[in-house]
Amino acid sequence: MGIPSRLLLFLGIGALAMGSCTSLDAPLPTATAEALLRTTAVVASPPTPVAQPANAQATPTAGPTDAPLTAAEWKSWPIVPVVPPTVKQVFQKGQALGNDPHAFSVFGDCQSVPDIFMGVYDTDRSKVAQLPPALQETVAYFSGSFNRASTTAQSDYTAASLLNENMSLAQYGCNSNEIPVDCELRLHRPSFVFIMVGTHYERNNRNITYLRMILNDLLAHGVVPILETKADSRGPDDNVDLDMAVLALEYNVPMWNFWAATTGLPNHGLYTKADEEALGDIYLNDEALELHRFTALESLDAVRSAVGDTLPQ
Amino acid sequence: MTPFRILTRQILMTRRLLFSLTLALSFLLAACTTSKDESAQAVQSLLQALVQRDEAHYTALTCGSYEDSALIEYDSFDLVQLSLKDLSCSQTGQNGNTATVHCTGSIQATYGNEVQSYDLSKRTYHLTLQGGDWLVCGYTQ
Repeated sequence: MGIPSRLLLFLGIGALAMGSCTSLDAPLPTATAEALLRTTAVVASPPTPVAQPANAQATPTAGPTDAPLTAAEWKSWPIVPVVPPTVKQVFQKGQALGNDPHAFSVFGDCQSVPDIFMGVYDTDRSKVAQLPPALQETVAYFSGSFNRASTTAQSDYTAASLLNENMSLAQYGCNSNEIPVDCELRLHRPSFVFIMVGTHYERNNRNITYLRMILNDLLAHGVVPILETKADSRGPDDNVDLDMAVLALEYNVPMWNFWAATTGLPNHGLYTKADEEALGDIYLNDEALELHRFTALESLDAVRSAVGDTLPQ
Repeated sequence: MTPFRILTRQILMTRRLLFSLTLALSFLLAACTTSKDESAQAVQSLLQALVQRDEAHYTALTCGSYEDSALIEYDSFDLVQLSLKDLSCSQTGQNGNTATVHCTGSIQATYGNEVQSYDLSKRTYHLTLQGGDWLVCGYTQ
């Protein structure tokens, strides 16, 4: 089934349960359909992957056209990542170390907790039935990871939180001297990890240092990271999202460009909570949340496909 | 020398000795108390700087070797509202230029309607005296 018909099937049946960090339910708005159409169009015409250099800022990489893009051009990167060939080696290393090929984890903030993110793919069969067949296969393949609560997906997390042993939550089985990253890797043995921290995080320039520490840890464990750009790109020159692009190139890892997915939505699908005016537009509305989980699933599918010939059935 | 004079002289010498001893003891006690207070106060100041988001003061109170880890803790709380509950710290040991401090109370981290409490009584802070100031060099728990 081609991409447009997949999309029509998906949209025709309709997307339902949506929410925000406060888990609202709402029908799929029309604007989302347009955004999904545009998103999927990018998927339908992926760029040809090119070898990616170690130095992010000096050398360009694959982009949505034949011309390679630099980190500074991250806004033009495709929504669904072009997966670097080196990812397969990382994955194979992880398999040798005993990682679960059917498991993925999420490292993130309030937009990453299962109720808000992709939990419905584990809990709502009707929702899954609305997905294109290829994505339904991916849902089945990673069953159990979508709605799994963990110490690494917590509302108040920054990149630093993932490295702070005081943030490891005993209720999930973490040891007191273990950082959340290592706790999650030990408990779930994921082969893939979404990294989606950075919402309204703009106070210092240490974020990228912490992300490097996390990426080093993941790659040492043979785990494939999937970096995400945020809709509320923050900091001077959007540096929170720019950092993700820099790291994607520096580490040769995939980047899911969610920011680009929201360009068709009014205000990038963001709103300010009534009792949290000081935080500004940081929360994703229902349209954006639907787009968030769908493009995440597409990205997971793309990465799974990239290591496809080494995957167990 | 008459017995009366001898007695008077002995009394005077004893008084001087007692005075000197008292003075020395007072200095010792004062120094000890100040040092104890200062190490505990350094930890309290560090925690107050953490919750007040005063990064400059926070890092000024940490050892160079601990600064990176201290900043991870500091940045971990960047998205929450912080407060200290029932904080009290006291020095539990000192060996030359190093000391340990124990605190009671907790850090309260609020995000939306969720409040996470971090129990400080599980921690033993380790400090070093550098340039006349007690600096926090980490903690074990």
